[in-house]
Amino acid sequence: MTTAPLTAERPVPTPVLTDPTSPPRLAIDRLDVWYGESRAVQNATLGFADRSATALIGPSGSGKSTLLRAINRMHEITPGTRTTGSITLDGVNLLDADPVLVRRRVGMVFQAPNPFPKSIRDNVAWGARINGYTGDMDGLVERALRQAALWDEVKDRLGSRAMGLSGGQQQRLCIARALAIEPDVILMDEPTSALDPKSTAQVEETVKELAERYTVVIVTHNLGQAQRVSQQTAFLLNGSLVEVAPTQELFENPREVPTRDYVQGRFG
Amino acid sequence: MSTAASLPPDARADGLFAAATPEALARRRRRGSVLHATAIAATALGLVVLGLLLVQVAVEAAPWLRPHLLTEYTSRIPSRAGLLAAIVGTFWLMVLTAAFAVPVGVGAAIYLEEYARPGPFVRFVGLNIANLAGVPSVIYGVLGLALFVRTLGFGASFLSGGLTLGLLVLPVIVIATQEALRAIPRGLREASYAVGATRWQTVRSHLLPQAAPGALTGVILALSRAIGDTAPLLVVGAATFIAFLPATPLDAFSALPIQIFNWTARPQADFRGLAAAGIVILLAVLLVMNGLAIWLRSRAETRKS
Repeated sequence: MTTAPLTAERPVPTPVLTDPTSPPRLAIDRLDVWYGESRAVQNATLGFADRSATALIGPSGSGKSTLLRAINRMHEITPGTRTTGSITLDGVNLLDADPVLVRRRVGMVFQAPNPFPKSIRDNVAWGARINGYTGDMDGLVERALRQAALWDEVKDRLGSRAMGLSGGQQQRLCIARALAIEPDVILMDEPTSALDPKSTAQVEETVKELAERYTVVIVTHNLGQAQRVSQQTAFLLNGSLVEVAPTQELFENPREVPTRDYVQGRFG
Repeated sequence: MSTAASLPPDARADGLFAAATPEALARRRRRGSVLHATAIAATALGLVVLGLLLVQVAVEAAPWLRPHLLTEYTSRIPSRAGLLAAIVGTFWLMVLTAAFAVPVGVGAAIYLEEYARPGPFVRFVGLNIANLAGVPSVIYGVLGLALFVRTLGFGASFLSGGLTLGLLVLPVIVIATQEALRAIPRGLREASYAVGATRWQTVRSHLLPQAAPGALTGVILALSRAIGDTAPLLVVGAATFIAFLPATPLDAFSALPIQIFNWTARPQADFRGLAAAGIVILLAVLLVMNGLAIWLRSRAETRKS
């Protein structure tokens, strides 16, 4: 396996929250994703600014999950995928890099909470450990759990089983697990669709905070959620990117007719 | 259940559902109870036959179940004959069988489930493994004779016997491990890959521990099959009279089923009693192994989460 080197050091954070004039950290260019003979994503081009959240919305089967999974090459776990175009992070094409290294830089949170059947501490620490983390592990675990807004609830029982947590806590643990490998980008695939309203609100709060530090890309079926947590929204339909715009603009003043019909709830 | 009378009649549909009338329903229920009774009878038949067999063996074995059965070698004189060489032989055979079949079987299952690209090749291999699980054990004996005893020159030894039984149980172990791996939810694999784990790290830290209880059950069931199998060992050349304990894997071997088989073939009635006692001991070993399987399984289950 040859490895295109990914930049080892994280760049010094810029003080601006979202600077529209700076080039995007993460950029997708003319991306096509094929599952066998069917093209799930066609000719997608969009950029993601650092320290901001982008929501991917669209009806079921529109390719938004595939687009998301292509960013950390997770879609390749399904045999028979083919990907063309480029996805660059700080100028490095992730499609040319080793997927194992890509996933250290691009963390992911899934639709259904899927903690490891291990202790709470091991759930957070395992990713860092296998990536050879040499720093203070207890400090890393605490930091990640605090960022995921779970620390206060679990600090006294880090050794107990993760499966004993509630669904919402499990999902925040999965967020902490993704943060513990210190990624630059965090992908979220409908992270609240399996949660009750209270847990959903907690996770949304966490997502908002994460967007102040990371590049967050979130797939959601919940249009209200897209408006609450994201600064930019992309609307997909049948594998094509129909419209990308600042969230408020896309919802209040969509340029395309399909976008308008979708955000007004006429289909979906 | 008995609300039929209170249901309002539906003039539009009633005529169309011929089996929904009270009489027809009673007929349907009767048919059901016939099947119910047949199923109970089938279960009872199996249990009764098994029970009778066990009772008969126990009655025949009772006078011969004495401590020296476990401490003496076999002998031409029934009152002096014991199972020492056979018991020790069975133990070492099982050790060799497991030492060969478990790593190879689990390894093959991991390859087929986690590494190989699904496609015609994997389907072909899978189909053949399923077929191998159904091949009569005496055929494995012939294979063991040709391959281990003759070609590789291991002779009629523990090694040949253990490897032959290993081949015999290999498909069962592969299939059980494959099933256990397949039952692991996709989310666990995704979670592992998503934090930058390699395939081997995913297999080692998450998939193997999750699959362990299922694989373990398969292993013990496979060994339970091997421990009672006589035919392949006869073909490979098990000895029926051994009066020493093995020092190396290349020594001549015997095993419990071989000794039992040999004793049943003797003309003296006393040897039939001895054979029954041997069967009781073989069954006891089997029960202990199955108990061990259940214990290991429950321990692995609690460790899983």
